[in-house]
Amino acid sequence: MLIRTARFGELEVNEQDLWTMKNPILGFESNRQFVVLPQNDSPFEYYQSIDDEHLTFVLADPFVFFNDYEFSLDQRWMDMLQIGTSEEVSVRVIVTVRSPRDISLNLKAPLVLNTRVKEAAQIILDVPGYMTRHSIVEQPKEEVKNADSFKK
Amino acid sequence: MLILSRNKGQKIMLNHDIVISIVDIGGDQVRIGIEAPTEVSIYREEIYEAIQQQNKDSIINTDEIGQLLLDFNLPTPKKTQKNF
Repeated sequence: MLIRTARFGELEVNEQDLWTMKNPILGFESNRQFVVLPQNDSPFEYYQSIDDEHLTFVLADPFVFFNDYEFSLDQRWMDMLQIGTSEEVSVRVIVTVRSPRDISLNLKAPLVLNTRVKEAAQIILDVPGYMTRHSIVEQPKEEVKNADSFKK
Repeated sequence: MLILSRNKGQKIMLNHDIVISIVDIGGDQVRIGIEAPTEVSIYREEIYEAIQQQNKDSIINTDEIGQLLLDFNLPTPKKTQKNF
């Protein structure tokens, strides 16, 4: 099938490449079908809505950036996504790009994917350590003293 | 909006399969129990709003962002520095 996208023009996608959101991306409850557009040699991939050509997210594999990221998956998500084995599960997080120096991952609300049936859900982790914005840009060191320190 | 009052121990039903129970009441806080089917998602409203806003802020609306990510240099993986 042919889909229209604002970022990539018209794309040919197969029915079997379509992902279904069993729990929506919050705020986008009516956008239930997406296609994943991987980028060569990149930890990032695009998540393009089938029915809204302007709705494009960037997903990242969080473990590439934070190798101690972990959470328990509640049974209700395993039931909703028909997850039987850990091999079927993939985790992705939404990337927020505000500027070249401000790129962050939403570790608080990851997407859990069942790669076997191509169903996904955005879940919210009820764990205090993860926020919606974890920077993945190397922070520059402080080189200049605060000018206020020279004032009497 | 429907406004109603319940005492501790009383319940509210939504449709036939969602039950809200007033479990405990103390000062300004009420403890609420919710029984609902798996497909019904339950969120604290302020958390729902925060995630929704973050999602909206993440929509890719320029081609520059795509190029920026293509050029991204992978750092060494970091610890998340969780505070528990």
